[in-house]
Amino acid sequence: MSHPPDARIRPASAAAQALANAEQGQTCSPLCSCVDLHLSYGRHCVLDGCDLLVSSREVVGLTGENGSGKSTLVKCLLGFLRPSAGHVHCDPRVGYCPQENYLHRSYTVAEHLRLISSLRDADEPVDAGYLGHCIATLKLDRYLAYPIRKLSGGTYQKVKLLTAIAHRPALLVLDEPTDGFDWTMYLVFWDLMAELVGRGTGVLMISHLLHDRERFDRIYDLREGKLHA
Amino acid sequence: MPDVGSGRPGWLVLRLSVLELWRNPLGLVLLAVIPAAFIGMIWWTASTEPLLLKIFFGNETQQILLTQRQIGLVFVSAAVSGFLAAYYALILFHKDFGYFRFCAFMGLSAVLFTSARFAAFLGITAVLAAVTTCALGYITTLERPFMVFAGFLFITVIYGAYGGVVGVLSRSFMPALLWIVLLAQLDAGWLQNPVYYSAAQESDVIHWLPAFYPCQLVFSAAFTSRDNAAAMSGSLVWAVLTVALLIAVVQWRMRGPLGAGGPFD
Repeated sequence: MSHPPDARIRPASAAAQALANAEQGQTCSPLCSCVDLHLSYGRHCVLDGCDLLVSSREVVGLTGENGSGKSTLVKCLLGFLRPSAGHVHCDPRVGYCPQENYLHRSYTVAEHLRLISSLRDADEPVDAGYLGHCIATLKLDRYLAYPIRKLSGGTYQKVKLLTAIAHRPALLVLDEPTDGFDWTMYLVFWDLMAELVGRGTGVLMISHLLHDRERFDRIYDLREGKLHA
Repeated sequence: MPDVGSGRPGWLVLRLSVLELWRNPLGLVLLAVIPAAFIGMIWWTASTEPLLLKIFFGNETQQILLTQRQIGLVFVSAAVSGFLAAYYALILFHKDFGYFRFCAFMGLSAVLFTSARFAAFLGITAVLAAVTTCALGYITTLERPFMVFAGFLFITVIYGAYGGVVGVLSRSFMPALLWIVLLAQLDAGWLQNPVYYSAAQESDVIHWLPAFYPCQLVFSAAFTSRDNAAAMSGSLVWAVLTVALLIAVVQWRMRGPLGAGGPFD
């Protein structure tokens, strides 16, 4: 998006160089990066020297087969897992839309949003105008009083997405974010991403199936523990 | 713009915790059905034959003559309130725990979460203890109702904390429920109760079980005019230990290792 077409594809090993450049102020500031990341479960090597970089105003894709280690890589980036070796940096102002259905089934959508909005109040207050805009764009207005357990799959996914973007994070990590969306909502999703990227957010989107490859600045493919761009 | 409002996270978690309990239809049904069924069963079936009951005041003991029905009512009330407190704690600390792990990732303080959740938990234990004391006071004359309430409060806090610990550590709801039913009924309902277990007052091992001191406190307050400092301090020690254990496992789970399916399972 922010890069010319020839800059979209570059070897994954160049992420380390890009990170070094960014640290010297030659490119956009890096929001999330890992260099030579290794992780093993016992003898099973899941990540074998991964280099990845997400900078401000970038949309980066991460793809790979089922079980290739995409979610494990994200868990390392977000600090849920400690890697066996390598360097990880991640901006703390992160919004995360995980693949799991984690929302509290007893709460209404409004109650959930109220609680989420109250978090990080001091350093990242939620802009009520922006939140209202997102609620309207995602057509969630009429579901605010609904208990979350009664939402359809697509609406549930919209609430998860809204949760991730409510604080207008500097870094947005999305794991299969468009699951259950119809075509219209898929386009709305990309409009929201464009708005955020325009304001400086860097996006890392994980999917086993990435459409619209031209929407991405860079796509990493995770195969046999290694990242290929 | 639709108003989703805002507020302090601690108050919001507390308010939502109370709403969770209120919105649990099974919990509300159990709150009425379990005491009615168990206390009613004792009322209709227990004998009115007198039985000598030994109450422990530290190293000293005092024997009092009570009907089997009176003894049964106190122990079954203890078991019922202990089980219900553990059940509600299970709801607060087991169901949707992944959601609060996500909130912690978003910036919710683990201490704030535990405090707010725990305030809701203490509220429900106080209600249960008050309901049990009132039910018992309606059926039989209580010498010092406030101390009886204190005894039941200890039982609900101890068993509630135990239920919370089981809930936090267990991945499935049903096995956790069976664990709390088993211990609450085995301890307060059977092992402490001389009507059903003749060795209840003779075994030192039984004195180490969680319901022992609170039950002694309830009996001494309900049927004697003596203060029971040993039962009070023993209950306090059990309550502090179980609550500290609950806080420790909640903190560990909020920040600790991941579930098999993902960070917010």
